[in-house]
Amino acid sequence: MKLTIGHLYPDLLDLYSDRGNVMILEKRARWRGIEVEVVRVDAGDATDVRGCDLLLMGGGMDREQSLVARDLQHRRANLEQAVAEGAVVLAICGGYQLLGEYFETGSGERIPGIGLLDAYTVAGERRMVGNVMAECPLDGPTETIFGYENHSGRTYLRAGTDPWMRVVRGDGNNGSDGTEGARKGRVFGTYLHGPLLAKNPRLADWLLGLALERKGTGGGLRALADRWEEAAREHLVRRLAELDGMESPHVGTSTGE
Amino acid sequence: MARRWQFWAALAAGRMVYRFLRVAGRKATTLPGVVAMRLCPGFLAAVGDRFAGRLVLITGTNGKTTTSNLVGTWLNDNGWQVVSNRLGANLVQGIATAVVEQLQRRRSYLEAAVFEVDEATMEKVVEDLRPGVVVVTNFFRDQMDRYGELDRVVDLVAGALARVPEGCVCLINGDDPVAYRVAPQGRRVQFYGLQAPEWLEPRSREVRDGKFCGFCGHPLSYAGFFYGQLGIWRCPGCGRERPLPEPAARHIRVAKGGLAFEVDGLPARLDSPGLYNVYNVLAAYGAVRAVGLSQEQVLGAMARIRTGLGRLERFRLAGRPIVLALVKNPTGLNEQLKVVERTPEVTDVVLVLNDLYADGTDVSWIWDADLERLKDKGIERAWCAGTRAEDMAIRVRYAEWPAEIRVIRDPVACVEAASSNPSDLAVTRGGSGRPKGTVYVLTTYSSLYTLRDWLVRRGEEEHDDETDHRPSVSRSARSVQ
Ligand SMILES: [Zn+2]
Repeated sequence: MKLTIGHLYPDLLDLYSDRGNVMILEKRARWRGIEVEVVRVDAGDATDVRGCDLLLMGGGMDREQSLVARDLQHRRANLEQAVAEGAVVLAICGGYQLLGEYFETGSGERIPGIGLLDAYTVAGERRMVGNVMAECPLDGPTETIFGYENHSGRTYLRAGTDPWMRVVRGDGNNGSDGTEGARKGRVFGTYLHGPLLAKNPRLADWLLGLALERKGTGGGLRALADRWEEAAREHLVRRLAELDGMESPHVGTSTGE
Repeated sequence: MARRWQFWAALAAGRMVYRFLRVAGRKATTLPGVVAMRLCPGFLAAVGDRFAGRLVLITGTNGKTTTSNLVGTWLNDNGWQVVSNRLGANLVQGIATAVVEQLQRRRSYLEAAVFEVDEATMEKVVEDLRPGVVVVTNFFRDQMDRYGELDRVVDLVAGALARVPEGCVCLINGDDPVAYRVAPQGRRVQFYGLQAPEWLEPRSREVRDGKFCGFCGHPLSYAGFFYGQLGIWRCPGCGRERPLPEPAARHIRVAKGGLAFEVDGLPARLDSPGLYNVYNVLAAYGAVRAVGLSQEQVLGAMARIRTGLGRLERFRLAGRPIVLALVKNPTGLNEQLKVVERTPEVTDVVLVLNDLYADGTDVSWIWDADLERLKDKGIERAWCAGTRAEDMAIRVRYAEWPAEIRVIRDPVACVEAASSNPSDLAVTRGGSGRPKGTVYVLTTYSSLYTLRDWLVRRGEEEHDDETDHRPSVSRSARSVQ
């Protein structure tokens, strides 16, 4: 059995270390004896996303994101088919925005997305930056998710697409309705970097399990020794409380190099 | 003149604040400057008047501190009186504080100011200070939670450079297509770079920035890379290409654990093997020549260049070599990992990851660095410390070093444990007289000074050869810390 992970636009959408998610999923599968192939999907190339079990997409800078927006339009039908056939899609930040219906810039221009999620994004004034804690249902128990957000776009969901998580700390989708990310079937979008899967191993395994379902071998992934992940989660709860208690950074702080 | 009177009064008041803070045992890198600027709104403009163009501003992502230390030291060596923010306090207040602390009332025939300036601060100081030389080292993604995206930082610097006085020499790293973009029209621009085809790598695993032409948006093509996006680049869209470098470094080769090369026909020798330091030397050389030093005046210094604080300092603890280096972004970390790779017998690596404001509160950047590079290096223990030690432990886990991972929150305790741990290397070598494996300490900014102070107290700095040319930083570190 081989798991195929498609990394969408690794050169264009590479902000904030989201490539870590690809590494994490690849290794967590390999450590369990599952063969993994990672394929790149670059703008303009002929790679067929329908061969992938898991599709990952990060965020990029403005210019690069609009290049992707154009290329994605050509892949829309294939992506829809891949999802219908059981592939899992995980998109972060800018990638998440592009899975929605459109992104409206500050000047009112609308960059079309591909509508895999019933969501739209509007440019905002305030940048939402910082550590995030959110609650995420993983077929049963709710899991606390740790990540880092950095975006000014505000995303709103429409009927047909559910919020993926609820923020406990941080802004999430739009800073006002307490939602974070979106889920429609096997398509997931979120603003959380970190990378997302680094400190959330149960979420990583849950996504792996979901992708393996189409191979007929869903759950039952052997447990891994996630010692540092557990330690990081425990520590981060304390660290965030500490940071919240600290005064905001004073202007005089200087930073050499 | 009312203005001059006001300037000196503000300076005196700032100096009182400075002394008060020092007596109270506090760091004094910003408040004295804040006070002086409050009392004299034209404070920085008066500084610009005083130096009348003998003023160097150094900006860019990496290499600011090293470059400004080299410029300061070389000018000093030749009898110049120099004002500089050597501790890396590079925002407006830090620059003003350096003036408060160091400016002599009496003018010297040979005097200059050398400031490293935060990228976003350039536009706030350039019109007041009216520099005679501006250096732009490079642009990499760094602490983006503070500035938003790299494009914006580059635009800010380009905007600042468009406002330098006529006659100002702009020294820009021409190997970096992103830095190339900030070159102003109608000014004296010199692009420095490497003429070292033997150091070109066909592909870079690390290009994160500047994949696209900053002018026409076309993807850039490369004949080869030096590191990051630095290399021999060309834009097939608009035809712009990496300019012929001036000054250029040639005949770069590894020598005695460092690098030897030539600049303008002068032999140069560096004590550390990082290629990025060759760029810093080029920038510094270009700057001191523009300020007025002759080739002969830097000849001696160029033959034994030492890198300064946090840029690979060597210590010895209980006979064991300890190397301390600052890392603050993926490119910097990648360059240090290459140095570790080239250093024989490194058994322990200490990685200190903090998430304070000065470090950048987003620690995800460690996933952009190529830690996998050290997979086969035979590192026995990876020690993780800092406010986000566990995040680093996770990163090392996924890099699959065959090393044991240990977490000790406190950086000093961690380095102490790492260096006292008898390494297998020493055991297998048998003799207690043999040096044990090297401990490599890579830390983010906020633990650098604590670690350095502790190492200076507890260990002994390594002196290999001529010690007359100590970097200026160690001097200033003691006087201001
Ligand atoms: Zn071009």
